Amino acid sequence: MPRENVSGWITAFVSALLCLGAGNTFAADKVKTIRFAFLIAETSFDPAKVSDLYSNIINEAIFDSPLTYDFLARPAKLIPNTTVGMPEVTDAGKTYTFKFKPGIYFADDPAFKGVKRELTANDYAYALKRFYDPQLSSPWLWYIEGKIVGGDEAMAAAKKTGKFNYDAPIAGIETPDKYTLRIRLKETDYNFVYIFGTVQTGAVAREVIEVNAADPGAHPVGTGAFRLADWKRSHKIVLEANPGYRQHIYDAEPGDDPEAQEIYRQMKGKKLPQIQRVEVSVIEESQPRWLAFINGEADYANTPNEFVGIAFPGGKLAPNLVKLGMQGQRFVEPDLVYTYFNMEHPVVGGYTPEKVALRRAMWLGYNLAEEINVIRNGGAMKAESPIPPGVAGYDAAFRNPGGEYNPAKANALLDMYGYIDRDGDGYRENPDGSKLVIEKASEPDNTTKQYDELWRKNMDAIGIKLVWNKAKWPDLNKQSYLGKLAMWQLAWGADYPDAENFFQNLYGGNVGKSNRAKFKLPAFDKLYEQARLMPPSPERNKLYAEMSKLVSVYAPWIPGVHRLRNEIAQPWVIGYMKHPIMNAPWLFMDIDESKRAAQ
Amino acid sequence: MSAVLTSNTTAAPIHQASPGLWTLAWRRLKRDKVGMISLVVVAFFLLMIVGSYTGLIARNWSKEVGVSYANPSFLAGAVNLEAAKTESREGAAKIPYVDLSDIDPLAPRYKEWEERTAKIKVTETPRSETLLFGGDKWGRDVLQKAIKGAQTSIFVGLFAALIATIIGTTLGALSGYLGGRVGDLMEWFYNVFSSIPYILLILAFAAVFASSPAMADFRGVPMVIAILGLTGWTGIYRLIRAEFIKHGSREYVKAAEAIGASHGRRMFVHILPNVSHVCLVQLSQHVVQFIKAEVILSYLGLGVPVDAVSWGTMLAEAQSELVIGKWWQLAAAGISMAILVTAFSMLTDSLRDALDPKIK
Repeated sequence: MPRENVSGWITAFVSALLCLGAGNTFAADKVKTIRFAFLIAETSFDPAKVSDLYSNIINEAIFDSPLTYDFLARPAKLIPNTTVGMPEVTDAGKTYTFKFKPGIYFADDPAFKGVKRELTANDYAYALKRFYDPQLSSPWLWYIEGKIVGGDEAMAAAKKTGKFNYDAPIAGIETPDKYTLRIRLKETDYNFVYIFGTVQTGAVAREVIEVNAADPGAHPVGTGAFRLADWKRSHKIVLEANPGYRQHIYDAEPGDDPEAQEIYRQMKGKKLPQIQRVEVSVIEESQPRWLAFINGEADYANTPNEFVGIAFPGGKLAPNLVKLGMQGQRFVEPDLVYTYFNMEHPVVGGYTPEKVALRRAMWLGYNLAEEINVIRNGGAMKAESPIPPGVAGYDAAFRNPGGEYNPAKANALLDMYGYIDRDGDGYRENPDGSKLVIEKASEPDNTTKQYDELWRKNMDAIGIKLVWNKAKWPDLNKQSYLGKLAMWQLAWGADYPDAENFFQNLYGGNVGKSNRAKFKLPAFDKLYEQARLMPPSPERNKLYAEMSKLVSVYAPWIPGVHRLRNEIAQPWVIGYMKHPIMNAPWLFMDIDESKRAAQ
Repeated sequence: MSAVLTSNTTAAPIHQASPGLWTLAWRRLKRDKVGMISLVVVAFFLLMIVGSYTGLIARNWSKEVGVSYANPSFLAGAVNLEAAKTESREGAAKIPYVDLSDIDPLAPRYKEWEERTAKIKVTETPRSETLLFGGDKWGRDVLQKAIKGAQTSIFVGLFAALIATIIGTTLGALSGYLGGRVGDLMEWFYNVFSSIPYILLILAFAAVFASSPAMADFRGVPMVIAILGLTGWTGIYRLIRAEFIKHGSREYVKAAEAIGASHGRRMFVHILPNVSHVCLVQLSQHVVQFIKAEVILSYLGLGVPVDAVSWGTMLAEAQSELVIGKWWQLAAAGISMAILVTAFSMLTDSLRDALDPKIK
């Protein structure tokens, strides 16, 4: 047989195989879809503007920050995302230079008028400048306020004219060429690099923001792996894979963890994203959310507290769920659930000894152990300070005397400082004899009601009358920023693994922004400013311990718990692992549709 | 024999006076076995809530007397994972507390604080493993909770029904008797109310009440009563209006007019007693309806406040308990509600029969 013929046959055979293969892929590939349920509704999708976790999860999928985290490495490790290598830090931690990869494009949008829009250093500079825009009043201004050379001056000028001039140069934010961003700081700051791993610094296109100036949050356009396909506010969010997404191959450092190694083995070398569609619904009540997962209507979930007992008896995934092929993971999250007091509030606020005594007594009188055991079903670890484990500055040996449950001590303290029940109604009055009634904000769902019951019971036991301000979370959130709430329970998840991220919520300079407690204590602020100038070190940890002590003493917060996550995923989910910092795992996940179909 | 006869003849003149509407109704009701049993059940529940209101029973419902999800006494041996976990986690950390005295504004009075604390006695009540009908999440007695819950639920049902009946009757009387412009206006008002789906209307009222600062002192049970009362009068209005239209042209009303009775007197002294059986039946029907509505409101988190308990809040709690196999709270609230609502409905039915002069 002539050779040509053989090769002809082979070619025909191979192409026939390829066709078969292609046909098979087409049949099996029924659009890989991840379905997931939020427990609290999102607000909107402007990365510089929103501060709630649920909106940020979506933003993470849409926008690209310069840096990101290795998906499997523990503790969390910052790695380049849209940059070529990590930023160059020079000038003793005062100058940060980022080199961006060329050939990254924004998702198509009418604002680009049909032209492919490349990502440049200017987009990141623009995203940073937006924090300064007084009209936006970004809750993330603390990231850069007082840090970048010339930034605060630009903001002051904008406050005068009423409009931020984005075209005016800022000395500390330079773009020497299309792919280079150079940031110069006033002072040494070794934590500064972390903010470039947060979704808030994700690149936004100025054209898109300006075309949609009325509500940019409703029209997010980024360079990320997904884009917003459909949005029914507070109800359903649908994301689609961005067809123009850059070449991105799965890679990670799984470390010693066998689960991470298994994920790495399954995902290594895959082109990302594998998931074509993400459907997020909002289910506020925990029972329907859990049942939706059990019925296979959600692909993964964090087991609600009520069901931890049946899903993870004794801390291990229940045998009946293992039999179904479900995957379970359990770990302490680097977060903090805390109750804050509004320090400017006439009833609970203030720094005088009797006000301090009131807050400390409430802290002593609140039975956190019962919250953990009964409400959270053991799914949490008691917080001794605002710093959670897994975050630089955490000290396992720090134990706070203010956090002991001791109603007798609380009663004694209240008696001492003149909070006495004068009219015999079972509730104490203020030292001046006026009625003492404390309004606690809380949401109208059944889970929150359990906390209300516990608070009511514990505060009754020490003679403090609590009343409730019941409203939905987004409404309370607004009231909170306006300083209208006296006390409220919130949670803070680490934006980056450093204690600074938690303490900034108490820094006096952030009052009116992230400092919801409006806590302003010169001693604390001094320590905070000092710590900011130091690289991670035992010396810095000492400052953090001092700050934790000040929180224990003045009690602007009652640090509650660090939550234990009981993550559970369906048998067909591949590659899922909760990252301690990142919240949107979809880019790194895959689905075995044949397994799903078999169920 | 003769003695019996004499007694009969002597008794006859006493019964000469013809029995009134209510006496007749009572006689008819007494003959109705189902009606009487229902009456006894309802009376029992009413006695129970009087007892719980005055503190004779279920006074300590909020005391935590058992372990978390204590088993009912008839299931004493069953495994209680929840309570077991609570105990096993009691071991506290043995790390010493940090010293805060160098920065604490309360530090100068540490000693006094310690002395005062030592003087306060702490009494720990022992928690029992089982309770008569089981315990809830916090270890409270479910049976006592159900009794206290009955108080709230029935109280709400009765008062809301009373308000609704008063509103419905007054407006219905005005509209039916006066007719004309007033009648049109009332009809229009009624139509607006009844065009909104009922649950939606309740939720709208609840939202307005809950968010308005003027109502701050009014929250809780009174608010629930007001919401239900203000939204539930429409059916009564329609019935009463029809009755007043019918009676308005009757001879006895004309006669009253002839002797110079005022409009108000004709409406409320002459006609109202003749349609009062409709009011009464409506009242009892609405009690049942509102008990159910309160359950829905509380279930949705718009009902009674945190420190109160009602059947609705018990059912709301039960939804997540059922999944972990703790059925007793659902059973306690569900069964008591089912019994009361059934008894009340059947009583209403019997009352209707007894009060209708056409059914002899």
